[in-house]
Amino acid sequence: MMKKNMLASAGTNMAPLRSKKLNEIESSLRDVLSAYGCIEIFLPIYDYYDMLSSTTQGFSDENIIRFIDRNTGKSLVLRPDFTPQVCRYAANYMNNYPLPLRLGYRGRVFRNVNMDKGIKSEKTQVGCELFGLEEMTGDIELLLIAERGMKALNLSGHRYVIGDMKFNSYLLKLAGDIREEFLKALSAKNLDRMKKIVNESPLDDKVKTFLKSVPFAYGGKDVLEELKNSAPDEEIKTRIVYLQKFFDKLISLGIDEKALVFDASECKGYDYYTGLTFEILHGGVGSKIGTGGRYDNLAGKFGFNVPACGMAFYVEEIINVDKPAGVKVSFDYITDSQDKAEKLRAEGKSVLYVENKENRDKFLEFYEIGQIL
Amino acid sequence: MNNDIITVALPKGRLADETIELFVSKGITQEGVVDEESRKLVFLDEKHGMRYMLVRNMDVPTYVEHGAADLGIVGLDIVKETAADVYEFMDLGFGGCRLCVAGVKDGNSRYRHDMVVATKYPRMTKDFFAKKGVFVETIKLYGSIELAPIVGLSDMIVDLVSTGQTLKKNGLEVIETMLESTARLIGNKSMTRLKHERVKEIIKRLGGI
Repeated sequence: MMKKNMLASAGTNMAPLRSKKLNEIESSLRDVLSAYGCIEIFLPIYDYYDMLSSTTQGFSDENIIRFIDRNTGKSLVLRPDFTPQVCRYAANYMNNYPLPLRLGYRGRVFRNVNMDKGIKSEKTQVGCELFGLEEMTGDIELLLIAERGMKALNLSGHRYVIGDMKFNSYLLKLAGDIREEFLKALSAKNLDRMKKIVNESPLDDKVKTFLKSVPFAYGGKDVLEELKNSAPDEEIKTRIVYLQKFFDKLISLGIDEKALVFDASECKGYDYYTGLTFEILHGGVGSKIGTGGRYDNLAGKFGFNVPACGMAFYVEEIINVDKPAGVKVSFDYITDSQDKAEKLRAEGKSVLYVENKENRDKFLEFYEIGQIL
Repeated sequence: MNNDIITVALPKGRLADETIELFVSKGITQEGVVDEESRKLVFLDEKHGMRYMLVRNMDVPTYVEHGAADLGIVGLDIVKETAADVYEFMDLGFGGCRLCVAGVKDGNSRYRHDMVVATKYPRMTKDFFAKKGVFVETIKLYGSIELAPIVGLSDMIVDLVSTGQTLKKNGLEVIETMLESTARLIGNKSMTRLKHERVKEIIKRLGGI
C-alpha cells in the first residue's frame, strides 16, 4: 500500500475523458490559428524571473511558482503567460521576417493558487501573437480568430466584452488629481464611492457627469452612442468614434451584434495594454474562456519595435462549457489475437489487445468497445 | 438574453429578509418568494426571473466570485475579509454593524507588539494592526469569540458588535471601531457583464444609477 503522504499530487491531474477532450479542442483551435497564417512555436516551460516580472501582465510574486537555477543562482518561474516568451522569440529569431508576422503556441501556464479556492495551478492555453498589425486591422483579426475558434468548437451563447485602455487613459487624464481613487472605484464598479470622490473633486460639471456614468457604461453599441453624446472633450470623443467604427466593422464581418459588449469601465491591465482588450465570456461558466488585447510597447522591450496584439483560448474553461461526451474512453475493437489486432491497426482502427479472454468482461466494464473479435 | 435568470446569493437571516423586503418594494421580486422556515436553500421567482440561494454570510463572496451566483448581498466586513475579486456595486444602507477591537474591561487596552488577537477576521485584523505599526498574532475562531480573552486564549478580540450587550455580559469592552459595515450589493465580474441588460435594470431600480 502507498504511504499516506504520497497520495496527494502537487500539480494538476486530468482524467482520461477530459484529456481526450482537451486534445480535440486544442487540435481544432490550432487549425483555426493555422487558417489565419500563424506559425506554431514551442516555448520553454520555465523562464527567468527578471524577464517575466517586467513583461507579464498582472505579474505578482504571490501568483507565481518560483525556484532557483542552481548553475546561475538566478530565480526561475514556471511560465505564467506565453506572451513575453513569444515576443522574445520573435525579437531574437524572426526579426527579419516580413510583417505581419503571426505566431501561434499551445501549452500550459502555471500559477501559485491558494488552497481550497477551487482553482487549478496548471492551465492549458492555445493562442497567438500578431506582430506588425496596426490597431484596426490587428484587433479585428484577433476577434475574427476568436469567433472562428468558437465556431470550430460549435460553441454559441458567448459574448465578447471589449474594453479599451486608450479610452481608459483619456479617462484617467480627465480625472486628474483624483486619478487613483477614481481607478479604484472604477475597477470595483463601486457606484457610491465613485459618486463621492467625483462630487467632492474640483472637476467641472460636464467631466463629473461623464466620469460618474462610466462604471455603468457597459452594454451594446448604444452605450458607445451615449458616451459619445456626453463626451466632455474632443480627444475622448474621437476615440469613441473609433470604437464605434470598430464595432461596425466586426458586425459587417459577421459577428453577431448581440455578442459584442463594450465595457467603458474595464481597466484591468491598464498599465500593460495600450489599446483594445477583450474577454470571451460564456453563460455556462462564471469565468472567461479566452482573452486578448493590444500591447504595442511590449515587443519593443525585447528590441523588436513593432505593434503587437494577441489572444489566448483557455482550454480547461472551454471544457467546462463543452463537456466530454460519454463516460468511458472508447476503442473500435477488443481482441485476444495479436495478429488480428495488428491487421486492424494497419487499417487505422484502434484496438485493445487482451491476451487473457477471462479478463475481457473487466475491460468491457471500463472501456466503450465498438466490436469484440 | 433578457430572459436570463439572475441568481442572488443571500446570507441566511436578517440580511436576507431585509434584502427581499427591499427587492419587493422596488418591484424586483414578488412577496414571499424566500421562505427561510421551509429549510429549502434555493427559491425561484419565475415571474421576475430571479433565483435566490441562502448561504452562510462568509460564503456569499465565494459563490459570487465563482459565478455560481450573479449577484450577492453581504456586509462590507465580509467583502473586505474575503478580498474576493467581485464588483462592489453599491451600499444598500441596511444591516449596519461595527467591527471592533475589544478587550477585558479595565484591562490593558493599549496596543502592544506580540499581542494575540482572536477573530473571525484574521486578514483585516492583521492589516489593521500592521497599519498602526503593531505586530500581532491572530487566532482564527469560528464563534463565541468573546470567550478568548476571558480564558487567556488571546489578549484582545476583533468581532462584530451591534448593541454591545454580549461584550458587557462577558466583562469585555470596545477599545476601537475598525470598520462601520453595511450590506453591499456585489456582482460576479463575468456574469454581470454577460447579463448586462438585467443587472443594470436591477441596479437602476435600487437607485444606483
